[in-house]
Amino acid sequence: MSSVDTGPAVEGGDEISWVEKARGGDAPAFEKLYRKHCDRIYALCWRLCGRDAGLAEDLVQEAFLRAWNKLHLFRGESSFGTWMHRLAANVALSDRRIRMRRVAREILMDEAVVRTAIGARDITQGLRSDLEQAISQLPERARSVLILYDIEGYQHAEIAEITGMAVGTSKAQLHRARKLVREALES
Amino acid sequence: MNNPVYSEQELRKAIHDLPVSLRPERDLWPGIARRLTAHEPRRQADSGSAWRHQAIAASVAIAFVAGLLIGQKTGPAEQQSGETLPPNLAMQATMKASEREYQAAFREFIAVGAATTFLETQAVENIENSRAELQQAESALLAALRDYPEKTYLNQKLLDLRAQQLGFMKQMAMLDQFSRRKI
Repeated sequence: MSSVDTGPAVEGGDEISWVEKARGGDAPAFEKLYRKHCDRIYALCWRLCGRDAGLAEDLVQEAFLRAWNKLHLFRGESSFGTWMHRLAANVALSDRRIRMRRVAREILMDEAVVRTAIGARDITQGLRSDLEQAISQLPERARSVLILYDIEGYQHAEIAEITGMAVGTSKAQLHRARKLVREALES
Repeated sequence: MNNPVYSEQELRKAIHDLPVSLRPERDLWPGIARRLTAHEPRRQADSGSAWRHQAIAASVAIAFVAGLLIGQKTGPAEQQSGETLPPNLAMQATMKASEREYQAAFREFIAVGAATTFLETQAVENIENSRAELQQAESALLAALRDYPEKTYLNQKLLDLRAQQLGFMKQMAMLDQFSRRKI
């Protein structure tokens, strides 16, 4: 089971009944699931795609559509929110547009990206804003690991499973990501 | 600049404290609901755009996976010949030309993008599976070539793979155009 905490269960087991109804093709029930989890899924996608709001919206829609088609595979071993979160992470990380950016960034621009981010940083903004910017400018794999581990609470083994990288690589990417974020904030 | 120096703990706490929920600027549900409805005909009949999408995507998947498998079948026999001759000049030139063609196509592929989110979910998965097969083959081949750069067999396989990848990108472009027209 995933370690990701997706918030308290809906009172009275409503969520379970929504899932059951949605499995039967009940779109309004699925809308309730969407309304409950949309913001969490959007934040995940927005960060994973480097703060591109338009792309994040596409990914959220794709993730919920995939969930609709895969609801029969949801067995209730975790909460719907946890299952949905994992599915959205898979959708975002397998999206070709993000992968292509990874290729472009990591082959052509790797270290320069961070320097660009530092140069563009407005030091009058708060730490949170600086952090979001520094994270968004990380190389894609480092960013993915930092978001999933430090913000979303996944374990390295889970990240390895989602991303296809080795556990050791996930740890190394996290170390690298934190170092790059620190450098961005302190420069 | 006198930017503050954060301790390791402060930095981790700041990252951890970033909000895990953010509201999108617009309501995304209508777009989802529209496509939920669009999924329904797929269960009923084997006609319409959903069927065509899946057929194209399936043909892409089958063609490329089959291509790889057929390619693999020819491998061992050639390998058994134990050829370790250095690649000749013609092969080297062919490899360079192939790589140039592939990289040019790949750059265009990146620049154009594809509206995969407008395809049927199953179609996207089929494409993703094909892409994953090609990517795995590429990783394995490039790794092998790093160790044995002079193996003619491996160089030939990379040529075959690049041809497959070019074909895949062309199919994706066709599928992309098709799906955009359907929006």
